[in-house]
Amino acid sequence: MNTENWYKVDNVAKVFLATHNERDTRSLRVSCTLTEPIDPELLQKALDATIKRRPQFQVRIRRGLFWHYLETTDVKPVVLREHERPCPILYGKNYTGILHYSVTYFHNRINVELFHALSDGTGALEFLNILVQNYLRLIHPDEMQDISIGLGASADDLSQDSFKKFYSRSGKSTGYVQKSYHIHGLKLPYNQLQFFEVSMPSDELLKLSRHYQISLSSLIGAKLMMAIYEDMPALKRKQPISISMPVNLRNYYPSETARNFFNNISISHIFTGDETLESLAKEYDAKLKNILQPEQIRSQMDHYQFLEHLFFIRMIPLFIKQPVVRFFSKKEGKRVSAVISNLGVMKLPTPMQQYVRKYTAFCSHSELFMTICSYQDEMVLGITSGYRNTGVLKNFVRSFSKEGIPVTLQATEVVKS
Amino acid sequence: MMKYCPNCELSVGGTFEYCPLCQNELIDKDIRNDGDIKNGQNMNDDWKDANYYFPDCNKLKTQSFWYKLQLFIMCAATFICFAIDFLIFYDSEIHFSLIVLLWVVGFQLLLNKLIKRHSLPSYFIFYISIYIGVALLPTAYYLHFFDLCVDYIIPGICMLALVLNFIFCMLDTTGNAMVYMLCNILIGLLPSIILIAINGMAPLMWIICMMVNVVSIFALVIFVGPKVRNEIVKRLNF
Repeated sequence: MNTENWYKVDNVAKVFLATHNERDTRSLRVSCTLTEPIDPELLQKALDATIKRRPQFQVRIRRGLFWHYLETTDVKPVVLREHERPCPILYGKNYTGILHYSVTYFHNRINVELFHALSDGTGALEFLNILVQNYLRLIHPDEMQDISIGLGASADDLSQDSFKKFYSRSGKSTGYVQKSYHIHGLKLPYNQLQFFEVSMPSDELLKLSRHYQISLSSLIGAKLMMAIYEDMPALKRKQPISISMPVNLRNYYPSETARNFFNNISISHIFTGDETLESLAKEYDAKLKNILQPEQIRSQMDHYQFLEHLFFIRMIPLFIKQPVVRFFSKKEGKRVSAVISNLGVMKLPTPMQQYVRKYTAFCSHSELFMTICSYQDEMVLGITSGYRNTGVLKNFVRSFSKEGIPVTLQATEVVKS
Repeated sequence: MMKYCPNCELSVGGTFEYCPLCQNELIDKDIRNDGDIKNGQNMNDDWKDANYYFPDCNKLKTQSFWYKLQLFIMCAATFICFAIDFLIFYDSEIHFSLIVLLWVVGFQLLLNKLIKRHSLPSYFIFYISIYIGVALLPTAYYLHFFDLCVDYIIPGICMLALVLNFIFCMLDTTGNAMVYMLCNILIGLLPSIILIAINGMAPLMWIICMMVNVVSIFALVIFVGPKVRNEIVKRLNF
């Protein structure tokens, strides 16, 4: 066991470590569905090769007196057939494993499940792509020899704490955001989450977004806002609906880190009742473009990072920091109605494309979380819901099918009584 | 063949009888005719040998009957002790039911640690020795052996825990035992140092305990010195 190498957790990881619970395990799943069934033995070999190339996930999270830290480990991950819900517990007192990530398979699908303190969606997807590449190399050795995935970053670049590296003390508060509407209704019993996978053809969605002259993210965000509004009780219709969107900071800073490097932005709207999808989507798009200005994003990142540099915060013991972080995260959560994370369009080397059918992602969340993954001509929404009531999702999905877009739905089964 | 929800106008995979979104009954419909999204193949083709797109993992974890039974007996017995103590012998100086409660809570914590497979032996020894030490003090006071407890039993427990933790630390493969060993040393040394600082002397057992602690520090520094340094730096990272 190599315990000599260790590094501090990043700013975002501290929040995940303080706020994980039985329902919201703070883990994420990225999956790749191939065109042929998975061979577990070859997948194990591919995983062994992958962790040599990307050892950043080979860590254990330990508690220090002031902060958690990550300690490298040589414990080997074992490929298992999928047997748990997506986004299972990967850290905490009820977790019996050692590593904070796992690789599973189910028929044609390869899943990488990861505790969010280790990395974000971009880091997880890169790990998955390397794993798939290594797997396909073993299955089709002749076709996959000359392909390479990854930007060729050094080990130091990959394990860099980019929040710390790019902090420039220029942060300003992004202003007060008022409490937002939360979907009403009971949560699922036994700390369950229900996962929905909604597949739609990308070209038809792009046609629709071009028709409104907005981005795909704005179209989906606006449709989700409308769906939430339709489900809102009349007395609460004066409350704003806020959609939180994680922003990949690698697009704003020259970072190649495999660890967390994102910030959340929020788009809010108070409905008057006169909105149409077109007007709302255009407003959403304009707000999004404004918030995504590089100066705004940099200022926001610095503002969040600023707190970590305060001496009196650093000297507080971890057992006091944890409940404080939990309290403020809960307070922050009240300003968000739902989360949409766009992981973007997956691009693979040409020889791999014929063997890959689709990509999916899920992220645990106690309320409503939606991921967007596009690959070739298919877009997949991975929706996580902690609610018994599926009214918002029904409104949301129907809004697409009513526009003539073919929708395919897969869902996990849950115990409701 | 996928099922179809005529109300939501979408194809639904898996074994659902009712639409997961609107809970209306699904109908059989070959979506290849109108809902095809991928070169003439619907997504169920990948799973033609399987009933499930997601595996069935709805087995809810419940605690065992025997665990619940012992918990019930312990709770009932503690409540009866409280009732006798406060309602029948209410004028007694010290309430024995509080001591019963202390030991019952300790037993349940111990049992929970034992049930969890991932509890390290060193973690277990460290916390249980602290709890026994804390619970023994009021018990000894109530049963009139307080001096014996403070002068002999508690330093004895400290030493025993230290020796066990030293062994676990040397055998450890997880890299997590060292911190409990160091905490054990701290707890074993502090009372002796405080007693000597205040009174100029300490009871014999505490002096022996201090000697055992210092000897174990030497052993750690000589045999695994860099590990000790590394552990302290990691745990106190600022």
